[in-house]
Amino acid sequence: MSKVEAFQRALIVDDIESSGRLLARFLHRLGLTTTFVDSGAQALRQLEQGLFDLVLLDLRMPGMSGVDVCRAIRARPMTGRLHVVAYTASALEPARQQIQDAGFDAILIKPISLSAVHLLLKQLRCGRP
Amino acid sequence: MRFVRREYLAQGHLLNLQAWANADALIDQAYGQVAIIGADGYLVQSSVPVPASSARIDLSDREHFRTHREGVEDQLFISKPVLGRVSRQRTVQITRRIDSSDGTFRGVAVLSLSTDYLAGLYNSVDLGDSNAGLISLVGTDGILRAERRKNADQADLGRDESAEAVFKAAMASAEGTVWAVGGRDGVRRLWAFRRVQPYGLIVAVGRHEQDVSANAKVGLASVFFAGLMLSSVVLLLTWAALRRAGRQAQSIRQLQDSELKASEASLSKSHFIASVSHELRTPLNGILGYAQLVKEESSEPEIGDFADIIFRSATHLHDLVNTILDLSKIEAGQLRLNIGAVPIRAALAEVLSIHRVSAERKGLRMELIVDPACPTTVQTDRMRFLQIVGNLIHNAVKFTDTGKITVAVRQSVSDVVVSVTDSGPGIAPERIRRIFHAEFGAADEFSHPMQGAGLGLPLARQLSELIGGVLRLDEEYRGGARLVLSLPIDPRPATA
Repeated sequence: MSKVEAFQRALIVDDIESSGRLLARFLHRLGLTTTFVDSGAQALRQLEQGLFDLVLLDLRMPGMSGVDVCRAIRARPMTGRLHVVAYTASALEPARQQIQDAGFDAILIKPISLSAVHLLLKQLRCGRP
Repeated sequence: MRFVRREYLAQGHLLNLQAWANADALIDQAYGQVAIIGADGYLVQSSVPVPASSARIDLSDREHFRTHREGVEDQLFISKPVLGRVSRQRTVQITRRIDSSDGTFRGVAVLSLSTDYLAGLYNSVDLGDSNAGLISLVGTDGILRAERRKNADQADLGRDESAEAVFKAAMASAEGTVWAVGGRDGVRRLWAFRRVQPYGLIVAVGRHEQDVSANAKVGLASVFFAGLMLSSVVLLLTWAALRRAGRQAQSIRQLQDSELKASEASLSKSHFIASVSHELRTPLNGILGYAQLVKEESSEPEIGDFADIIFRSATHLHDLVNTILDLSKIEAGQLRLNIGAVPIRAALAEVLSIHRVSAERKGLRMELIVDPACPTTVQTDRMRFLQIVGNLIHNAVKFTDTGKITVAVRQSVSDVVVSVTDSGPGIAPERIRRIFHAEFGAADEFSHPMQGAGLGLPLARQLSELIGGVLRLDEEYRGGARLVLSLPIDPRPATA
């Protein structure tokens, strides 16, 4: 699997550790360095340092949901233009609309595979300059 | 409950009172009318046709409606003579309350009897030689319901008889005889009377004193008895008729109730399945993802093989979850379509490439034949089109051990016809009827242990219908199984 040059550092936010670690491993194999946190509040603190170019958010988390975190990211000038991906098991239509409205760039549906993650990164790179 | 009532009012035609009244022949159509009044007091059904253009008939102010709405006793009510709002005749309304199974008020069944009918009933009764014989049916409220006079002059129905001696006598004792002078014609008659208790009615037969000889008291008794019997028969028949109409109305309501419950259950089942499918994806993510990591990263070949088995099993499970989710979405009407121009050859080539690996693993060849006369694009939902053809190919590969799978496409009139043909054993005649139905029969699982839940074809059939197409089995093809999908090249907006 070739490396996707456009992204270097990804922040993964998921309350289920095995799920977050799996995504981290796949991204790592595609050449990215990753940081894993298990809550929205921690994610926003990490993002204040400005080190990331991609955020992958689990939608269903205790406390701040993925949608809440995405809205907060979009509301801040420093993080407003980050690439934000919804990482979700939801395949239901209303959820999709909600995800788009919250300002996500893409959806990564669980269960994931290496090829699905690779395809996602390529699409993100082409989708925005 | 508003919904149930609206459903009832909308679908009340299921209860065809016109046909029922005609078939029953209990009541002469010229005289009788059977009707159902809903719980809101509006006419729901009538055996007399109501012009479709006319406004809904409000009967909530009628005494019989109010009486039944307020009281729960299962008894007949016999109204004062009124001018029927449906029949336009002078009628006596004999009515009965309709209850739902939980005892709440659901409306009133009405039998309207023309007063002519009631009077005519007594024609056969011998009232003596003079013209002064009378049979009358009076309510305990004193209002005359029906009257039969010799040489039938116009009966003054609705008249208040409460001042009459006969009425007073009947109110004093349930039955008996009395000599009385009628207030209206001043004729002295011998009256025999009887109160018919549960209905609040008094039947009275009067004979002119000229007709009453010493031995005629016996005659009067028999005349009275005949009158009473006829009245009772009418009431009995009426009660039975109304009971039947009421039960029919009630059973239709129960059917509608259970239909509503069933559709609610179906909807909540669909929601349940959708959320279960969703919940299953999270653990599947772990199983599939880590199995893939182990498969690709393990240095021990056997561990890699095991991981591959886990991966393929979990993939199968994931496909099943998706199929069940799609079926439940279709059932709940939540599957949305995305219609656009789909290049046929490219789309089919893509589906074939997905299944090529599994086909080659079994040593099967795959071929795609596109008729040059076929249009290059079809207006449809690309994803669902691929899913249908994919399911057909998947099935073909699963049941075929040697030979090939052929996907062919051609145009037929205004349809694009895609056929998927395999060289397998074909479908056993006893299974043909069931291949498109999602069933989880135990017998099926035992006789076809390799088939899994067999949801692929049922889903393909439902998806085909959803995108305006038809999926069928070519039962005449003998070389294996051939499934044929016909899609309109450009569906009308209604089907899109």
